[in-house]
Amino acid sequence: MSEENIQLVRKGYEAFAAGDIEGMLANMSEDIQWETRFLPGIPLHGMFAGHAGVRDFKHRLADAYDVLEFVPTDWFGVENMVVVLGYERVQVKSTGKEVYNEWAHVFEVRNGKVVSFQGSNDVAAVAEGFTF
Amino acid sequence: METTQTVQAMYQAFGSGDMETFFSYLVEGAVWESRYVPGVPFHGTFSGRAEILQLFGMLETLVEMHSFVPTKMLADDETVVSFGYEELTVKETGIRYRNNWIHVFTFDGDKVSKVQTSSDVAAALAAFHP
Repeated sequence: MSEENIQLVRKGYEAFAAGDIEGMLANMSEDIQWETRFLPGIPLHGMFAGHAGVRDFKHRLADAYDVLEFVPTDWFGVENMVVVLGYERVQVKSTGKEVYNEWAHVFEVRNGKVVSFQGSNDVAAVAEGFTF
Repeated sequence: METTQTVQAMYQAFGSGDMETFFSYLVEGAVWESRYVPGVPFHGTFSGRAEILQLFGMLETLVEMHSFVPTKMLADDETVVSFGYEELTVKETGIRYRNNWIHVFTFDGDKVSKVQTSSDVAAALAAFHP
């Protein structure tokens, strides 16, 4: 079960990297809860609900960043939970600054679909990246 | 000793103020990355016993900890990801808040070489700077 869940999350990352939003959403429940932990004021911060919310988040991401590297490094699966540790290097479009962010992604999977996502980040590094 | 058992033992030692035991699980020069933002006093990277003790001393001075509750751990031979929460009051402002945290412990052999914590940065900032 946890190996299947890990594969589901992996496919989601691949779909995202390929710009295949519909492919990514196909593996997400209609009422998915998507939470990103930065700080209020950072456009990517907050709670995003359902497919519409995830689309909104993806648009914000595309507006905010050029993604230079996105690298999952450690995978854990237990029961309904998948935890992925990794890092990204992005260029913030508005400031031109490059940011290195080590993140932790936590997924809950039920009946073969992602029902929730929480992303924790290097808030200080990201906030600095958005600061002129 | 399994990695989760080490982390559990570290939490216990920390909770009882047994710093000797706590540091016995850390390599010399271990790195503690406390991820907030500047403006939160415990934000920063602390290397080695003396600096980490400074961080803990700061906690003791600045906040009152009401609870510290690990809820879940996921682990392999080199990493433990620990989830939980704490409730604390910032002494100077009197503001109490709950911090949902993630602690990532990286192992070098049997001992911990790095601890990286992710916290509710907004809640901490608001508690220190209302």
